Amino acid sequence: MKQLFFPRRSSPFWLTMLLGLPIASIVLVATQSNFQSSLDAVISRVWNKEAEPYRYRYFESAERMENPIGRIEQEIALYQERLRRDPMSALSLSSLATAYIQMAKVTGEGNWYLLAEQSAQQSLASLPYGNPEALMLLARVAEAKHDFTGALNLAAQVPDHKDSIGIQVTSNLATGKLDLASQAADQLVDRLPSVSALTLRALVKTAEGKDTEALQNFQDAIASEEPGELTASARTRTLLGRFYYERGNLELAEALYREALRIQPGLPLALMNLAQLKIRQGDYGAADRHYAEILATSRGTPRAFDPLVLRGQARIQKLQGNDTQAQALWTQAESLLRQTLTTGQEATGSAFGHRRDLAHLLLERGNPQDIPEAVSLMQAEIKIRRDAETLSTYAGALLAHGQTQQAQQVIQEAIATGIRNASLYDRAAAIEAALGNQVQALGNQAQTSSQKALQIDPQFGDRARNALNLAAGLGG
Amino acid sequence: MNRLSPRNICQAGLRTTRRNGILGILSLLCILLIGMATAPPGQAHWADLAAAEVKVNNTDAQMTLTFPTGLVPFADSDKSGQLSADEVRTHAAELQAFFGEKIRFMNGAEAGTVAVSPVEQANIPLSSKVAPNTHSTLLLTYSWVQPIQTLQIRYNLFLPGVSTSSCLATILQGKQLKTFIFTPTQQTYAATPGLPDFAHGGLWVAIAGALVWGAMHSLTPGHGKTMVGAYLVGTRATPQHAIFLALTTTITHTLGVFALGLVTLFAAQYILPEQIYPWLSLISGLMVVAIGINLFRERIRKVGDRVKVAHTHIPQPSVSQAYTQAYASVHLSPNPVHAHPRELNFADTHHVLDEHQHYKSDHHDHSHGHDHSHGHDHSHSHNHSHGNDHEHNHGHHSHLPEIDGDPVTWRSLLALGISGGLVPCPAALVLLLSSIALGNIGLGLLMVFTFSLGLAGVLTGLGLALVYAKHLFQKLPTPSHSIRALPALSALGITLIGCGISAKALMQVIALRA
Repeated sequence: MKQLFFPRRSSPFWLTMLLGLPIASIVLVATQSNFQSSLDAVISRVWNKEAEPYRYRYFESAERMENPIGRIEQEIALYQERLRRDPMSALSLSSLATAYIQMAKVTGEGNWYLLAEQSAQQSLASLPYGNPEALMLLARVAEAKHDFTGALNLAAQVPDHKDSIGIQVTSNLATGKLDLASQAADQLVDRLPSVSALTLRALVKTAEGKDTEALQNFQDAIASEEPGELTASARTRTLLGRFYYERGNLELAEALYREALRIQPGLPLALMNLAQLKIRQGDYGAADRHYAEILATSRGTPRAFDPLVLRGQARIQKLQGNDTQAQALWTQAESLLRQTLTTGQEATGSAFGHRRDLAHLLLERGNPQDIPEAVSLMQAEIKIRRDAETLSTYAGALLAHGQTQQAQQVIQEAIATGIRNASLYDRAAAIEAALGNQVQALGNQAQTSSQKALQIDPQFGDRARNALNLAAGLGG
Repeated sequence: MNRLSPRNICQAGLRTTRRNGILGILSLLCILLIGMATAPPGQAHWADLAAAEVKVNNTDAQMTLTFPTGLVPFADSDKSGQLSADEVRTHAAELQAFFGEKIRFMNGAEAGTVAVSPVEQANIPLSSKVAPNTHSTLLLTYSWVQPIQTLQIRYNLFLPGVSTSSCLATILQGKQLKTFIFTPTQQTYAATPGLPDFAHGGLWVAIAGALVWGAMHSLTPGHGKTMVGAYLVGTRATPQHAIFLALTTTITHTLGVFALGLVTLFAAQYILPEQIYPWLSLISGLMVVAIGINLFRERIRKVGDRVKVAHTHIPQPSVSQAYTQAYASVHLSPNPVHAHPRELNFADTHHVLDEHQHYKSDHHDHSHGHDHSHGHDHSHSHNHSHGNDHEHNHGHHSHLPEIDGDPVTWRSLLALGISGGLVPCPAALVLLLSSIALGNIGLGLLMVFTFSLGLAGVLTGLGLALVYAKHLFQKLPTPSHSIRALPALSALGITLIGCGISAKALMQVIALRA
């Protein structure tokens, strides 16, 4: 006992201090519940120098608003109070509608678009002429409903308005009219090279397959940001993260998603893309936690992104071999998606457009009886939306339905847009292989398509396929 | 089409299904139940969504309601999917009866009289409208003779059997805006002017909620539970000590939240709360380390003394002896001034026992349990020792019971309690700041206090459980070496926990400054 405690004077004490404490500290820190995420954040910040140019610079001076809902609610209260005193104020009605749209974007709750539309209509009724804001608000609601034609028609009434040009960019991008989208994007940036404008142009360049220009625009967007534009700054980083993800640079993509979350904690767009990345990395636990984080903010009414979250969770269960749980989650997602579809109005949209998501679900669930409906949904969708991802989904549905020739035509149309997307070429390879001409497939087309996929994303493989169609953000 | 490697998935599925069969079935049942409870029938679609703006005035309330036109097919004469002003006027009586039944506004027990009027809509050129109409907007005005005192809205305008349909309402009462989502399972909104959130016993629910939240929150990692446990196990603690320790933590925590809340409010432009937390955590962690190191050194030395000196007499220690010993054991000063107080009381803060034992000048291998002190004010700084290879102290603590460990002092408990409660929980701060943001500071203070009480309840319960459980352990025939080492081990535990807290805080500080 003596030897144990006092082999030499004070030595047990210092021995314990010098060896025991560091070891115990490491164990204690490592067992903290948030250890992994804290460590990831520290490592990302300290070691990932590649992400350094994309750090947000205004944390010290920008107002921190972790939950923008409170701020928007204050705005709504202000404008409603003004309208109580002056019910016919067109300006207050437009401002109120703007706040409603912001709320819709933040919460993902579709009801806010109804309120926005109503307020914009009243504003327009109060001031029928010289009220471009109200018209643009209606156009934005139409766009949110994926009524792109309606949005463009409204935008055409005030062609020089800033919002009108923005709507021309997004709606033309969604409908696959890249030339028009590009012209509008240039016009928008020339007018005001803001974060949002440059980000929009980056998205157009990405869709055109002009990666260098796209990257330059993303970088310009970040360079031009100003304090207070938290949502725009976080969104730009998320979309840039997705750009890198689709080119196989997962480390930088993750750093950008995390930076976006640091700017705007809980941002669903960033969380969904981060979850997708984690699925691709095989870290299903982390992915599930990110999805759960999104669902935890629900206020009881279905939100636009809830089906995608449920699909992601189903994918995780499927990959872990829990088929029954996966089926149950798909069923939940399906219910929500069907809720967004307006019966009998397939050709016109007006349903917040989730046909493509439903088609994705039906295809990945793998029930043969669902395939015809997936094809039907996509046939309706491409009447209003012809971007590369929509075309690729349609091609996938046709392939699953056995219409391989048509699938090839559709996928070629998608490739012809110029977009550099590995999954697109991977699908093209699958279609070529399914055409039955194995020699040609293996020797020429399919092999070429596979090579192109790997050129774009050198890490593309089964793991990347596991995470397909779970990304969130403009352009799919 | 699907590239999820079906073969691998099937194999993995079989393995996992076997392994987690029962769990899987249970999970499935739960999910199915949830799905059955929430899944809409086939006819459900987004057009079930509705939205409303409610403005509460003195004697009336106005609801501008946008709802699916399909709910009032009797009024949509031209089947356009949208009610025109003429259609509203034509079917005013039917609409009034319909909405009076489906949406009721109550002022206390009195239902408001409803009047339906159209809302003017913009006449957008048809060339711009591509999507068909699905919704209509009406102005519903509910009025009473008496001023509104207690407003309640009962909303039941849902498609029958569609569980996921909803109506989002913004309710403006005074200058305060509330957002409420009516669903088939949540059809009633209650509000009172001036206290909208807490009518109908809601205040008590909020207080109870804060209490339970505090209790639940204290069960999460942190909050000094382990530290309190380690300390109480290793000392001769009583139930009163356990309660005192928990209360100290609670009061410190409450004051900390108030202080941080004030700092946040008044200095938000200069100091960010998330920058303060890591530093407070670091200070707290270092305090715990200091306490632990002092305890550890004292206790390990005593274990050594006990090994070396075969004293077995166990006199009853006096209260002042206990205070002296344990009080010294938590002393944090690196360069203590040696002093001999006239009386050993809580105001004595500046000596460390192992550097100034001088209660008796005739040193020998045991010390005595009497409670004398020197009445003069000179100080001594020597460490005396005998010429052999052992050292001993001449405090009164060498006569401690061998099993109980050290006695505790209120001062040591105070220091420990303060260190445990120094870092305010962000959850409590959120409570306070949310209430302040809503313009109800008093409610915020009350909620934080209640939250802290919940936290105190758990810590007290834990402390009492440990104190009582310790007596049970004493009755067990345990090897004496282990019991002798227990106080030292618990002190070591405190130190390690402090290191962990400090290390974690340091990581946060680094992350913040990186």
